[in-house]
Amino acid sequence: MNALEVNGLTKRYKGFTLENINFTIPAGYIMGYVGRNGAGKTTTLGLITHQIKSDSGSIKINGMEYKENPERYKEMIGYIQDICYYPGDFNLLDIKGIMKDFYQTFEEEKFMEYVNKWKLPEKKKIKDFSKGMQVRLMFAGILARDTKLLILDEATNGLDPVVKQEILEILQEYIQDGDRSVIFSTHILNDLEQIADYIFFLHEGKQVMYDTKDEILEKYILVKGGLEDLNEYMEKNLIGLKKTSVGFEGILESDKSIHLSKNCVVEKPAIDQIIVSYIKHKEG
Amino acid sequence: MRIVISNQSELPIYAQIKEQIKEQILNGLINEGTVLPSIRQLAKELGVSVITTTRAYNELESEGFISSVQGKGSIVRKRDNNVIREQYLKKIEQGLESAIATAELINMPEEELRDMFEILMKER
Amino acid sequence: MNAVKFMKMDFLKIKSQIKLMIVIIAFVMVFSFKMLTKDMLGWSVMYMIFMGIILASLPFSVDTTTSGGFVTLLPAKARSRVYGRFLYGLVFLVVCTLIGSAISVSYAIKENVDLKGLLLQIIVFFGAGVIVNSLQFFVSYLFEIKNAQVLSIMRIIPGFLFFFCGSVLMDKISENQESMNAFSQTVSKIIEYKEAVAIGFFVISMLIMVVCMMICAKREERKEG
Repeated sequence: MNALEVNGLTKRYKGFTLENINFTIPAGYIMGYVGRNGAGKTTTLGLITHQIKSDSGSIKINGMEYKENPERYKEMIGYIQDICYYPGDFNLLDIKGIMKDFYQTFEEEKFMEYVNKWKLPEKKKIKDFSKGMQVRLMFAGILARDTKLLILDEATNGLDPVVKQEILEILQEYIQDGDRSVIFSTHILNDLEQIADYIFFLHEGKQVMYDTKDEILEKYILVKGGLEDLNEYMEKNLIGLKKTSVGFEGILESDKSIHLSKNCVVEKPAIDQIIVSYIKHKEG
Repeated sequence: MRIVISNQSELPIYAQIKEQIKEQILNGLINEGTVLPSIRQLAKELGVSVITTTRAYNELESEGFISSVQGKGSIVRKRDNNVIREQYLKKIEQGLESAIATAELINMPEEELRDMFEILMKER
Repeated sequence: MNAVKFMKMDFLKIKSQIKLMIVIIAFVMVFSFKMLTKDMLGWSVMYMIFMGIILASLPFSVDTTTSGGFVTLLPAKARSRVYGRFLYGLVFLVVCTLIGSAISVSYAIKENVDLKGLLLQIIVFFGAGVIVNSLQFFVSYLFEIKNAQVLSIMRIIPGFLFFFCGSVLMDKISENQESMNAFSQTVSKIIEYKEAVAIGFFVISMLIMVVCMMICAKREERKEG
């Protein structure tokens, strides 16, 4: 069973169009949804959570479309964003009461377990929480109930490295049973490069790259060298070629490495190097 | 079991995992019948993606080192001497090819290389 | 039902404003008690409803910016949110009416005044309040204003409309003899059938509320697809 299936998803706005997005996340995996600010990531996620209506295309969570059962569809989703969405004047006990009311699978004890584990203040107004505490509260609300898809919209922005690491561990724990999946949108790929199974790269509303992370890493190499090491083939074929007074660097498809001149240094690229090079290539 | 991933290594992560597990099986550090951590558990402990550990285990299985049993996980197989011998032969071949390539770099004639080999063998 | 859950949440939302509200309510209660006269016992109800209309609009302005994501993701239909909001408005007005009525009755007992006609006044004021509040909610949903200053101005308008439309109407009517006659005749007719008129008005007010509610619910639902 696939946790999330997106087919031909399209949404048109006045100055921007999200066009023909297609991807599938099987149950038990993590997908990084990557792109620059304004590329359309939040729009995509808004369509998946049905906060926005699509112009065409279909979205299925656990094989089910929104219109089949809107309440059940929303129950399957856990959503976290960078700004806390709980009403600021509420405290966490208020939130607990509301979630208990609305969510059938919400477990009060589990919620309080997380609250105690993370030492979240019970009577404080949520707007007075620190950012790290707000994120943890959003997680507590989701982990205390049954969900199939965890959606993170730039959720690690502005968090310190310790909290970020905690979140990565929570995500890996979330997919442990092989039943639930994560889609994680970000413009900073470093945050989740290690644990992502799939990477989807969105640029100006269009799908640019979509593959397993391992395949992407194997497909490209990072080439560096002195300016004298640049041959004609490399000038033409290196993606995102950057030249300085002391040398150059660029990305090349690994199967073309035989065309490289001898003194070049070849390294494993990081995914965001590949993506940055791709962007420069497309815009240049 | 000991697995240490290096981001600096030229080898892709799945290959590092595979090779390190293989080494330890060949050296007897992991006994036959040992149940390896599940694919997901290992991914979590190493902080890598599930697809990566899956690939490592799949290749170990196709090379005959482990077998996966429904419900139990991945178990280290009885050391098949032929398979093991083949792995060692591969290693020897790699070592020899590396020596030959290095000798070529400094234009060392074949005879000199063979002499060196004999001396080393005698010293043992 | 989910609408009831949303209504509960709206009451919870205004919890932060409770101090302000208690002050205002207490003030209006005392004020209306002082203003009551023997012939028009229903004034207290009217003042309470007037204030109630203003306070009922609070959920629209409290915390509009960030909490959208949580509320709209709750597993409930968009229309339940609207039904819950209107239900909250209705309950709020009912409470105001009850308090106003209690003031009227206690005044009547104290001053030894006949309670005749009070019930009809209550029904009419309540109906008018429901109409104005429903329209207020309708406009709030239509325009989705998030600016706090604009919202606070908007909140006062309906209540005052309710209050001053009546006096403007009275002025216009007393302009010439003809309209005065027509008005007096209408008034006598109304007084003749006052029970029927009052109940008819109440029914119309309920209908208007339901219509506004349905339109807003449809709009919210269409946004989400």
